[in-house]
Amino acid sequence: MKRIILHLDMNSYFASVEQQANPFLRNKPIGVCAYISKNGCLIATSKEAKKFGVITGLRVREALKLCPNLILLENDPNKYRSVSERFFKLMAQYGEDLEIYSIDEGFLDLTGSLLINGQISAESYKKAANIALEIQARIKNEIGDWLSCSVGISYTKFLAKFASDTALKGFTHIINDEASLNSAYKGRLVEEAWGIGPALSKALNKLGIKTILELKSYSPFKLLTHFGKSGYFLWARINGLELDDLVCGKRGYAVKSIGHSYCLTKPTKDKRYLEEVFSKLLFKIASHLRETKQVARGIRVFWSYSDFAEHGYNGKSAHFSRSNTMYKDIFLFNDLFTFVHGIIQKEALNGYVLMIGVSVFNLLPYSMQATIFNSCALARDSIKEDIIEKLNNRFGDLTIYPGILFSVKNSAPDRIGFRKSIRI
Amino acid sequence: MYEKINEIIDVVASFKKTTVEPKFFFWRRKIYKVGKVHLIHTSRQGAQILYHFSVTDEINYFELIFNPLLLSWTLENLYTAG
Repeated sequence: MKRIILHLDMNSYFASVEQQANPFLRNKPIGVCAYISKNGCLIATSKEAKKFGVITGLRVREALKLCPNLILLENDPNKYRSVSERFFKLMAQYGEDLEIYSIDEGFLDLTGSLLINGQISAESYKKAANIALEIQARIKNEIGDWLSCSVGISYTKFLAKFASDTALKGFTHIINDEASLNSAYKGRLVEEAWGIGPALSKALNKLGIKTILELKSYSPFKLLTHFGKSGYFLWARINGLELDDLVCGKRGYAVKSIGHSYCLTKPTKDKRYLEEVFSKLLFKIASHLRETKQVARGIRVFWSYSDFAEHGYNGKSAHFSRSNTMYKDIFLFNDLFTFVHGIIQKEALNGYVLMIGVSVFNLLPYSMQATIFNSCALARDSIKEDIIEKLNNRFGDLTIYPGILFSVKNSAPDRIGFRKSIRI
Repeated sequence: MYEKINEIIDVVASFKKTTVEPKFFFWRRKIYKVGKVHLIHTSRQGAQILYHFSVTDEINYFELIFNPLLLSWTLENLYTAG
């Protein structure tokens, strides 16, 4: 039986929330940064800023060249999480199955409430459209009159998201049959589809597939040959076959990795300083693993070098990345830090480091299976970190922390990374 | 530009059925009338929840924070248009 899925996507979310809170920012180009620095990146921009070409991911110094009047704001994660919690609670009133996809996007399965004689019909879509209008109006009336969202409605999760991605800002786009599907795809390039990034787009172009309609009519067997299973799955999703369930529940998202990155305020070759900032990121990761009752069996460390010619790096930027898949569970701060410390001490820095990051992957549910060789130490360290976590939860972040964080307490502040750190 | 203030202030507030609305506040010997509350959001300091009110009068934006444990109001941030 076909389903009916609604996808909601808040428009220019962080910037809109800031403009909602402070009306003197409305109708002005604003850019939200993790922290305000010429090296910093914009993590959100208002629609007024986008008209100048100022988009998410741009460095602040580049953005100011495009729009000298750009108003820069430091991000306020509490504000965005708080508003997200409210509109997700509102969405949940319309259906049991809600997937919180990211801080500003969610899927709602409306099938159960819109069946007519056991089927989804044209009337079901009319009712779904009314639900979308009602949600959009209630967000404005009950949460903030400056906030707007685009809504997509369709019979698969993939198509619902495609519909909202291609909807006009603040409006609803419905794809309910083959005719409306082909109409929605008309003129769209492959990179406009969810899940097709630059690398896959390039690979598809080499096969002569430039548009979504060309991909839709391409041979699924040839895609299977070129790309494996993922090639077939892509074809199936584009053709409206449902492959994806909503991931629902208290933590309604399937997390494959947990990571943090940070752009340094000043490029550096100081390994001790790098270790200190890394330790702040690792402390957050360890905390997140404990909170979600998970362990990791892999860790990845990466950094990128400054591209400033003045630092003698000949205008080139370069990256370093090292991954390690572990044979044992890691979740304690000490274990994470030991790995990162070893990498930093061993590797020669090719230039001034500007951006650092670390992530853990191969996540598993936590089970206290201590080995015969380390049971006492593991138990002791685990209890110690649990107590630190409880004290910080009670009295505030970083009430107690490892000594190495002392000089970098204010570095790498809280911020929201899309998709992976919702934590509502 | 935003100016961080972080001063405890006196506030006159209205307690409605499911919300609180600051109406006036006193800061540096002046009375400010709250024109509108544009957003209320929360934050945590450990287990403590704080309530942030984004409000304006005709020319200024203020962020007021209510701490229910201490029953105190703080003027956290100020933004003056123009």
